[in-house]
Amino acid sequence: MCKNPSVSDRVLPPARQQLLPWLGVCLGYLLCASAFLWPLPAQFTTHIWGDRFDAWTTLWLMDHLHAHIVAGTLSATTDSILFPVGYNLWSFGHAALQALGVGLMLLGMPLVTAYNTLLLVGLAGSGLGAHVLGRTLHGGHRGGWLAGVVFMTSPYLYGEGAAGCIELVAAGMIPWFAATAVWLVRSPGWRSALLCAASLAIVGPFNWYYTLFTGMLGLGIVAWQLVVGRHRAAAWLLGAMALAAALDAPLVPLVRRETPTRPPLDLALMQEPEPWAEKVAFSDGLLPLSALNEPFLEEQDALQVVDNSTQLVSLLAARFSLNPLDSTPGAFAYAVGLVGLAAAGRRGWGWGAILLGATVLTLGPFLRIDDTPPISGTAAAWPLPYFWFYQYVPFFSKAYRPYRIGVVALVALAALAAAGLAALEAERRRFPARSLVAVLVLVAVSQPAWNGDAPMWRPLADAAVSPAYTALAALPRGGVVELPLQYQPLTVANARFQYAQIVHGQPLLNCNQLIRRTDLFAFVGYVEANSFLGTLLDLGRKRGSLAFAGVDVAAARRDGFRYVIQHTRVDTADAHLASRDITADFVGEPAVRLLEWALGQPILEEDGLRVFELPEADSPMPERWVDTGADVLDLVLPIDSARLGLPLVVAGGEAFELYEGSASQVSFWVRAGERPLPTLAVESAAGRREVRIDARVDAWSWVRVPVVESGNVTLSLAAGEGAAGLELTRVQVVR
Amino acid sequence: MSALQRAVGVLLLLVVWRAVAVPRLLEELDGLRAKAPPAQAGPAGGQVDPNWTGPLGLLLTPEQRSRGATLARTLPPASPVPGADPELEPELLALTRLLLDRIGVGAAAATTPEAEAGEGDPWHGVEPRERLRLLRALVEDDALGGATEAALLERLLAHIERVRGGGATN
Repeated sequence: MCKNPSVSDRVLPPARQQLLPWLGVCLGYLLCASAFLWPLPAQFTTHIWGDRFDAWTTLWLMDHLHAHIVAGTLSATTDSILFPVGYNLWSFGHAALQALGVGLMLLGMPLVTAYNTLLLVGLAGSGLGAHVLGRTLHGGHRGGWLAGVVFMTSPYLYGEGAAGCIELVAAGMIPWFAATAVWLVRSPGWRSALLCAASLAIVGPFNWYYTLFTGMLGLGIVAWQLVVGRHRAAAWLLGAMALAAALDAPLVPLVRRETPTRPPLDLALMQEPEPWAEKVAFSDGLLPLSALNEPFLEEQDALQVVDNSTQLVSLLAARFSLNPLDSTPGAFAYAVGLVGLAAAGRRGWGWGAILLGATVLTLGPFLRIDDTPPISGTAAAWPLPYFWFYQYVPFFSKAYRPYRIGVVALVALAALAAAGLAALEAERRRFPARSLVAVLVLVAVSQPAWNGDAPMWRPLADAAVSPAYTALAALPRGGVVELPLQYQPLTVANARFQYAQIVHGQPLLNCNQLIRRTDLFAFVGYVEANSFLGTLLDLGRKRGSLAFAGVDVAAARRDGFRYVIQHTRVDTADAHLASRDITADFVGEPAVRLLEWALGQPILEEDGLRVFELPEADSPMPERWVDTGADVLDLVLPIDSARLGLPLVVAGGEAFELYEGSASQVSFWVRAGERPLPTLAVESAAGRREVRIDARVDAWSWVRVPVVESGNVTLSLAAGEGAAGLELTRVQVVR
Repeated sequence: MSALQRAVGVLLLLVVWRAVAVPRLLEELDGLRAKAPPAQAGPAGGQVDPNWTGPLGLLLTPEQRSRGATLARTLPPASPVPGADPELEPELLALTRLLLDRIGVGAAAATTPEAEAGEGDPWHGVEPRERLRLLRALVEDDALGGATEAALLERLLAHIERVRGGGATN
């Protein structure tokens, strides 16, 4: 193991007199993290960095914890989400970081600022943890800085931050543990062992993935010590890890809740095309609830392991990718780490072996060229080490997202960078280490501006909540269903429903936390038993007849539901990490008129929200509400803008005919573009009238236009003198 | 060998690896993937599973798929078409994408925006407005007539060939 003779006796953290430089180091990492996350610091109080459901859920969790701590009503279970089934907060599995955020909120910091502070400090902490490891191996802060930026500026951490998984960005405890392990094996003793054990144990409440990964890293160092014949050091480290495991043992039942028992990997299943096609349909929320039985969900859990493995093309390219699933330690970390390995020589081989092992594990159970399923026969015939560990090593299956093991590879790369620098400096007194490290820090921190996806230039997600939810908060307490109800957070708008609760405070039946099959199964069981709620599921993509029983409306009201929210506006921020099928948001006819028929006119209509109230449970109600939708015609457009992402352009002075025939209403979802909007021309025997289309650039709006003309009409989009354009989808005519 | 020599040697190796080997490897892997049947196909070696229906449930022969892919590669859907009317460009783009999407090769088209029209280009010699008219007619026909995507592709290719040969255009 590499060690600089001048500091060989320094086995514990710096003494009090050395604190000042460390304050400078902390400040330096905060500055580096700010630059790396740019432009977030410029929008620190209003925007967040990711818009996947994880981000909105984390914000919700912080607000929920804060509100209930202040009120003294905090409980492990809540029915604020997944109402009325309820949800156990331990299912999050990573509440410690959010609890730190609550501390900031208790000090008066606003929610979004606290969330961003956690992200920023978490990232800086990751750099700091690696700095300690690098300094330990190098003997000076130069090695610390090199290791710190190699670790902190990886696309892996960037991607997880962009996805909203801030608890994964705060990975500093892993290299910190590695540093304590190095101290322990260099100088075995009780103090070092206790520090090492505590470093491993503390990871537990923060993140179970990382607890397992840290354990893997520790075992790698133990194996290394055994190979080089340092049995006493290995025994001390193993003992420290056993103590950490004992300390974390009480959390095991909670881990079981967070990660239900993982199903075995079925080789035959992986090679069949059908399960993979079903997986896509499941991810897109296209399967009926009846298909989501327990064997199917277990099958999906097994496929998820393969889907969350690093692909060969991703590993080879090592791009600075924004998508965590494509992320690796990145070309910069590999380059600096491997050059460090070469320079460190035999002193670096142990870290090199850990790097190799962790990298192979990230590939998951089977070698995949890219993300195209199914698994080939050859790959299935030669499973990778991850497969055997997953199948036969207790607890290993909890690490069911193999690509995240890349964080262990990152620790090894950071260590190799520092060890290599130490070797170069030891060999040549005039080696320009300071200048080299300074340049490498600049290159590393600036990667988001120029490397790979160059994600610095993407817009951030606006964390403002529609003021209409404030009006909802003022209504009497009652359960809410926002339309369309989904069992997967398919779109940004859907993923934000839970976040909006921080304003309206009403309990909500939603889907953000249905990523665990046990919770999803509970959701399915509840919704499937109620035809009214079942009808609200995926209402934006449903076509044809809709029906539900009157008793189920009453049952929903008895269970505590009171409000159904229709959205006539879907915001379209450009930061669309989460959106797979925005068309799922576009609720139209006959759903809206059926709701109006069954529930009456909205009690609240504001800022794109229409709030319907369920009648009292004992109100007289028909046995069955049915709308066959036979008179609703979905027009097939030559250009469906939601599907193509392109506008429909009408040349100047021309009209684009949408429909000809009888009509009583036309409705559509529309968004304005760069060109002036066309008008909707309604022509009949009685004459021609033009209807102005209200559309916004930043949102899709649902427009409903009554057609009062009798007889045949022609509906067209008419341009003025110049070309007009708009984005148009889900055009429906009611005949 | 000194630490510096080893470091410089590995650095040079990494540069070569990144600049030469990685692109070639990715190309090879891409080729390997291309030879293999598409996503949901079963047997290896370019044999197409007769039950494979593609992402949109359409059934294409290997030849049709190959011609579609050629079309996708040679169309410049995300870059200006030389001589095109700027007003028509978005619509041409949209229709092309729609069509390619319908025949199951839309993703390929979206990733090859810089391709130039040339000898292998089925659109070569077809005036942009005419391309637009053909595409629109075909898409609208399909919407009204319910033609399958495979038939749509055949008709598109036939139309293009006739236009290039100076024959009837519709």
